[in-house]
Amino acid sequence: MARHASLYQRLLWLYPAGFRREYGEEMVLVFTDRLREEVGRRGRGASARVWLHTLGDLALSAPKQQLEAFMSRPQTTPVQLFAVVATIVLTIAAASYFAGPLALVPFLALAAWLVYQERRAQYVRPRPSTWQRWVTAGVGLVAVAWVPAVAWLAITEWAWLAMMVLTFVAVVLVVIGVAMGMRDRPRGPVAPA
Amino acid sequence: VPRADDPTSFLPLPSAPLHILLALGEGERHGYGLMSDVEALSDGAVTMGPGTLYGAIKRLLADKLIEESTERADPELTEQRRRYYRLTGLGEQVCAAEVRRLSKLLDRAGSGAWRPGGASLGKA
Repeated sequence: MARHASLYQRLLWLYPAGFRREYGEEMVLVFTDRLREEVGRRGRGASARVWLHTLGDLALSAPKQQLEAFMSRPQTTPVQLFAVVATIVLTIAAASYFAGPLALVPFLALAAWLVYQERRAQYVRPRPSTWQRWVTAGVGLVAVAWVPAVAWLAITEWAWLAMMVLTFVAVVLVVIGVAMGMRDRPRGPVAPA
Repeated sequence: VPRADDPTSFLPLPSAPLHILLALGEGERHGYGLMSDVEALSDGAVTMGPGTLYGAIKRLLADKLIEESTERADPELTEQRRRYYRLTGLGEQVCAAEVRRLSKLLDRAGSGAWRPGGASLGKA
């Protein structure tokens, strides 16, 4: 039973940190209660049934909680939301047409940036700066622009043109963001409070 | 937008919260008690996993339809590690309003206003 509980506890990592902190311990208790009762009633084979049900529940409820947590953060912007949704949808799309490891690079880059920003927003400063939003938008746009190429779809002349335009816009966004970030950096010694 | 002064503004309730409120109508419960009662209430039709259960509890707590209970009616049953939940006054009103709404709907359906493959609800 302890092994099952430990495995389920690890899977709780899929939920947002706040939700996990608030309800994680209770969820593990509920899971082990259910497992104990089912195994007691139907025998050891029942654990597979409980796991199947629990994994189905996890697959449905974890993304819902992640999205709720994301939407409820005061610093969430439409651009960030777009970037997250685009990452999920396009990673699935790219994976289904997977033609090489390069296919995942822009999406991993976007995911890494978002995770970095999330951690920074949570622990370092309460709100992301404007420059971070611009960079997020730029990185997100690159990921979108390069889907046809990384997914090895048939690319027409128009598609190339669109990709180039989007990439150019994305680069401009990133450059603006970085420029803002450079400007925001404190210069000289910080005055004592 | 749900408002505390208008229980009907919470309606219609999704399935999981409605079943949880109905189960709590019988008294305070902890998580697994709720899960078992919901299953029993629905004759096994509604089976919630821990994620769905606590997702619904989180929402109900935020809407102040339920609250954590710190005092046990029966101290013998107390399990320190577990949190118990109970209905608030607003939760009772919302649950009652939803039951009335569903009853009215079923009455209308049962009175012949709706037939499978035939006329729909509403005026003939």
